Amino acid sequence: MSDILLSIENLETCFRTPEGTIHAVNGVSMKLEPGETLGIVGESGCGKSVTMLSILGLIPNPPGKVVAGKALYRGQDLLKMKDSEIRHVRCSEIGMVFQDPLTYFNPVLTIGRQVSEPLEVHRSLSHKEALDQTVEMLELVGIPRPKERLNDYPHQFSGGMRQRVMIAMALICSPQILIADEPTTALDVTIQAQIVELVKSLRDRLGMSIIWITHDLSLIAGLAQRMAVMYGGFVIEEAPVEDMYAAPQHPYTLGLLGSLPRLDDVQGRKLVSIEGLPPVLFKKPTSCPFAERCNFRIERCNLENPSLRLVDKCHRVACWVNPETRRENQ
Amino acid sequence: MKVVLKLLKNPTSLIGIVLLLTYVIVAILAPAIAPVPQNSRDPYMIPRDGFKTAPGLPSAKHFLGTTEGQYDIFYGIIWGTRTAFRVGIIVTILTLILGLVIGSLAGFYGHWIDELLMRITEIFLAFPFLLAAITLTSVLQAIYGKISAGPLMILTKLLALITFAQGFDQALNPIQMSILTGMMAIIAFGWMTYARVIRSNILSVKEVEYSLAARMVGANDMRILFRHLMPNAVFPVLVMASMDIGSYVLTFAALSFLGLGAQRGYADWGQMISFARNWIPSLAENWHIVVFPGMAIVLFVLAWNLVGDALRDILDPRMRGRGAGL
Ligand SMILES: Nc1ncnc2c1ncn2[C@@H]1O[C@H](COP(=O)(O)OP(=O)(O)OP(=O)(O)O)[C@@H](O)[C@H]1O
Ligand SMILES: [Mg+2]
Repeated sequence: MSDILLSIENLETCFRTPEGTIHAVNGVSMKLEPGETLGIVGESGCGKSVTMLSILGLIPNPPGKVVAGKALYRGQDLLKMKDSEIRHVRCSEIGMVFQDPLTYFNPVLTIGRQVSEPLEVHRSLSHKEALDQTVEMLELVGIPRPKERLNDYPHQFSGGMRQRVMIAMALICSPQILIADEPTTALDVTIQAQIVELVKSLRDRLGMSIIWITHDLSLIAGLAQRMAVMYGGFVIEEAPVEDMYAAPQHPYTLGLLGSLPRLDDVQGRKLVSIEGLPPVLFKKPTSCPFAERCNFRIERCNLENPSLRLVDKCHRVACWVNPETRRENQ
Repeated sequence: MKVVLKLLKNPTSLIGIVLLLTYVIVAILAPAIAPVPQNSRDPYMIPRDGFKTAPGLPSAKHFLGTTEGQYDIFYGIIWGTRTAFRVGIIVTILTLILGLVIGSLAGFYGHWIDELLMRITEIFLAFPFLLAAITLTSVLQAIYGKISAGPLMILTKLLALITFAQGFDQALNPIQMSILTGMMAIIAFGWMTYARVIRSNILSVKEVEYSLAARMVGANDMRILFRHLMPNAVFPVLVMASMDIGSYVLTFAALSFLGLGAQRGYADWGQMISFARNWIPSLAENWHIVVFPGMAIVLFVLAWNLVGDALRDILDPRMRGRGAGL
């Protein structure tokens, strides 16, 4: 029990819109151990961000609502917490970094004030102590001349620097978990690599657990120990990173990895793309959400939604198709 | 800084700034420009030179002449500057705060809070401003004859504390009372536009990403509203308010003219003009009793309007970027 830091169980979140109810998350379960890095991948709109915002109570209500599930952080259910309790969890226990660091900073407040705000909210420090810690943190994430930059505004930073500042802000209260929601998507490739390196070194220094959300499978390889693949509001496959790359099981994961160029590609191997579009979830799926686009589809896929089953040590897949058939067709 | 320099080069805004500065200096130096007579109890009561009814023309002794009942016009105008600033600024600030609080709560919380507050706003907007202010002032003055405690009294004492720096335990005299009721009436019917504008501005920023980021930091509602959203939403309202200072002073002058705001003999421009009511047929000879206090009001309002214009130019983000090309 105690070696699980965060455990999400059967989380379901809906959005009520004029066009109908969108079932964005449909029973997601995942676990995070202390010091572990979990990667989450999946197409746009599959519910990655909504899952994370749900457990932190940040889903705007209305239109959104967490309708079922648990999110146990150290045995306490985050979803049942009072507003003042969950507010204390944010940033001081679980920090979060967002995708586009420009829009997530307030344009009229200086970087210094924004980075030190978590301290102001959660810790009773003197102004000077808070300022010292802020400078220290900015230095740690690699901002040159941090003291002089405290009074600068967000637009005076470059994209990569802004993301560093946002990481500093998320980590300033030394949380146990850092949730990074596509923190590198808006950046160019070299800067992406720098940010990943930075997070790795911070992880080694501060020892927090990380949930890293991304579209970019190649980023996860060097960073995470375990990864989960999401599709249509479900986790459809979960495994240690090596297993996932060596022996992907779910047809969707196969497709994802197949659409990725690899260093050891045999010449002439074609990059394949997955046909079709992700589903819009106006009703809770009763069949496998991926069935429509799946090349291995069998009768049962249209009738029943598979749940996650253990296929190998620590490797879990939600698919009806016989693993043998999948391997042959590959 | 560039923009400010440009504004100083712009003749209209320069006139506004110079005018306003002149008024400020006059207000500060009032005791030196128009010395308070030895036997005076309250410097804001205009000294009288006898009790003759007919107004006196400008002379060596009375620069700008005297009004009906021999009140010195020069003294009244100089000390009236202080009244104008005091009433104008305090009324504006309180109206602004009232409007900001109501409008931002409505915009931030939405739902039934929004519905309720905005319907109330519309009810208040349905009254013609001046008529509503006149009516409320007279009603309040009638009520104050009868009460000595209660929430209304506490409000009034608070306003007295701000306006006259008068302690909570001291009783209010009738002179102060009539000024305070006038101010309260203006505040009560002045906040609605601010509330509407700030509401729509808050609505447009409350869904943006940085307010989510502020929630993520663990900030509570009030912190998000006042620290994160307000600075992004408040400037247009501040500009509106700065332009309105003049019109609040004008409204207060109208109340005084009708005998509702400042009492007879108090150094207030509107009140001074009210002395002219009985002399309308002979205004050709006694022009000075209207022209001088009237000029003081007109120029004061003009100054605030010009400065408000200038402020808008400074605070308008579209102008900020292209300082040089202004
Ligand atoms: N505020 C909202 N109102 C209505 N629907 C929403 C809202 N937020 C999210 N959704 C819906 O929830 C679904 C999942 O969205 P989510 O943001 O979690 O996707 P994601 O996996 O993070 O995608 P991306 O990779 O693009 O960030 C989407 O279909 C989206 O339409
Ligand atoms: Mg997302």
